[in-house]
Amino acid sequence: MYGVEAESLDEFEEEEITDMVSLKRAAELYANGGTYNKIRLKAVTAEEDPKIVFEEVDEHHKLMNVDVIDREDHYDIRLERTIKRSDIEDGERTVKGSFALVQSDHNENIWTAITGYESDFFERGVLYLFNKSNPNIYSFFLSTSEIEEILHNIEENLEKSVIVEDSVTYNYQGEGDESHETHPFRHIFSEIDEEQEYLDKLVFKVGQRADNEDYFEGYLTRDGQMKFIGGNITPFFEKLVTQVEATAEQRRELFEEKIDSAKEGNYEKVHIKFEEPVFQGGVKNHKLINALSQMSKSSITVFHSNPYLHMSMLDYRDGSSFDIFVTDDDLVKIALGHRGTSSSLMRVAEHISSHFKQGDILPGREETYNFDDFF
Amino acid sequence: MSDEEEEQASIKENLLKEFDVYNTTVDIVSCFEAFINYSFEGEIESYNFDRFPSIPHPEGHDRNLTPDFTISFNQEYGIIGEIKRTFPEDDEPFRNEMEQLLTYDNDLLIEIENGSEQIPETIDILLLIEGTDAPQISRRISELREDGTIDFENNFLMFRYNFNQTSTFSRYEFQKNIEASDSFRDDVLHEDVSLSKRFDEERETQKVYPKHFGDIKIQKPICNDEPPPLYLATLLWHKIFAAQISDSDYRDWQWGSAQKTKPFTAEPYEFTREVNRRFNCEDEIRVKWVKGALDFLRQADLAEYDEEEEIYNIKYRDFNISVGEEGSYQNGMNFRKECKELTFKLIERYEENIQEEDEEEEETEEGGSEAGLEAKEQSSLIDFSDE
Repeated sequence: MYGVEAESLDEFEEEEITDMVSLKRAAELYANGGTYNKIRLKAVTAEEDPKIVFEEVDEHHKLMNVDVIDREDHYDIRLERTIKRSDIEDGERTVKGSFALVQSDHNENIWTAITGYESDFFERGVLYLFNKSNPNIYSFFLSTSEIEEILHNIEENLEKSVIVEDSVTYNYQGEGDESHETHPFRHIFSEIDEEQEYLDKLVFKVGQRADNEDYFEGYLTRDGQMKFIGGNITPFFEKLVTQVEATAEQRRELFEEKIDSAKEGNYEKVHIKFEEPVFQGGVKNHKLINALSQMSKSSITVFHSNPYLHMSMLDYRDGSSFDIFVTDDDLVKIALGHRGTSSSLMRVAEHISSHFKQGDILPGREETYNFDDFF
Repeated sequence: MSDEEEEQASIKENLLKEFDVYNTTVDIVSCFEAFINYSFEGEIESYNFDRFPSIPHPEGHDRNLTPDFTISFNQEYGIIGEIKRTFPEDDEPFRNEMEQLLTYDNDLLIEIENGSEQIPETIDILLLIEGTDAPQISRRISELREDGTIDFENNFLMFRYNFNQTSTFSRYEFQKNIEASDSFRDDVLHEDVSLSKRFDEERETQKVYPKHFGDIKIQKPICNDEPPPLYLATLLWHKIFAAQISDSDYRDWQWGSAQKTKPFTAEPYEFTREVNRRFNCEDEIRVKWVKGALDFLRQADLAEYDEEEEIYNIKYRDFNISVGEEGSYQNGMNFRKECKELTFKLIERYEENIQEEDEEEEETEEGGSEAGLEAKEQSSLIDFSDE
């Protein structure tokens, strides 16, 4: 089940995985059973019960079958997708597999998919299904500083050093940079800071194998994908997965509160605040417009481009609309329209973070001025 | 550039210029609304900013007066605000503009709070002129006032406005033009928030930053003037139409291509109500304005008009079009073109479709009368001048 049957470990060949305890045990044995065995995970935000969402996808999507089985403490999802493309031999092929989808213990809207299947099924099956489940299920993103904080907390909690073995960073022009050097995690982040980049993914290990119970090797991406590569699965879930889920929930809460209020007719904003001034003299406004204009299935209107920026955006995926305003040199204001989803707001915020610059995502506040401020 | 290319460039420039001029007027009104709201909240017993004044004509004409805004303080003092980008060059039209302003020089009923109107004891007239032409206009106004051609009973003030891009943060600046102006008669206001003290005595420049007026502008993107069809069409497309199609339509777009048309019908009266509601416009957006925008979309082949039912069938979808060769237009226009911005895409479609219709018109003119009528109506839409 879930692609975690370890051939070399007879005890799990026949045993059915019925709950998370047996899944984690099987996953740990599987990952430690072979160099290429990995457990792949992806945390997502769900505004509705994923079972209902997937049943709807199953009903409407002609080339995908999704069966959802209720297990004791998770959903068992069986997925089969036919990919039709002219460059494939015979014009089509199938990806097939299963994954567990488990609700976060502390955050009911955050769910994590877990599977031992290879990357082809994970990317073209699991991630594709999530992508088709928008806006009810959607991806979130972790900023570089949030990833740094997660690793910092792991190190503090386990009192074991976190060593990064591989990392991929991007600059805001979309150029990637791979590193295969082994460094304490702080070293990677200070380099990123200097280079004006953002972290896309990294492979890391916690402690040394000799340390036994807390040792694990993990992988984390900015869009909430994780891998359990080896070691002990308990600290992997308790220290990594739980933190990723909590960070996702913080962002969901902020967005959802604002979206709900905007739907009731209130004027609501979300701010992205940068550490240093980036819009001085309006120089970067065009860069921001360009970045947002590249978002797929969306449309922009520029009311004013320079030196202050006001544009509106429409997301054709679900009809969400936003106004984007730059009035200070270190702040982008995203004003929510009456029709909007957290999924779309996440997409806009992610796009600004990856194509323009990362900043802190904060609730917009009401501004007050007085007579003297105008003179 | 060939004649045809020049004509095309000129249509584009005119459409964008109209869009920008209107957008600036919305900015200016929003500047004043922000200034009044932030400055007088809690500072005065009552005040009111009316963004959509419609004042019964003092001489009983059918048509109401529609200045760009009115302000009322404690129901005793009022300001009538009129924004003009520029004035005509020639003397007679120039005088006519001033005579039009004289219609505000009366006992006018202005809004003192939502839904309630009163004639204030004192009323001043404030004219706002864009910076470039302001010195010359102020000289001419002052000459007309001095020789008695134009005689205001109430106080008249002229401000010049300017968008300052060279300061650390860009901002609108408003300065009173001393030569052409009287003083504010705002005795009702405390010294700390006195307009006359700041503008008349201290001759200060008022500075309004986008952070001051941005929130108001987003919530109220319309002012008391008829918006250019292109401007309103973009607002409709982004903010009103999106709610007209179903979740399953969006699912279709999400799973497939968003360029697949999702049609829906738009009844102009119903849509006008919706636009008013959405943009907090107190029913001031007229059906004619909405029809103008829907007609623009029809001209861009994104809507059809059903004459029998008197409804528009909107062809809603994401659309990207080939924009052809790079022209020698100004940078801003090229930038809009490169980033496939909606305003520019609408202009391209409009222009492309107008050309096709012109060609059809030439073919049918010899034989058909109905087509000729239709074409005549359309040609008036092309004639976007700087009125």
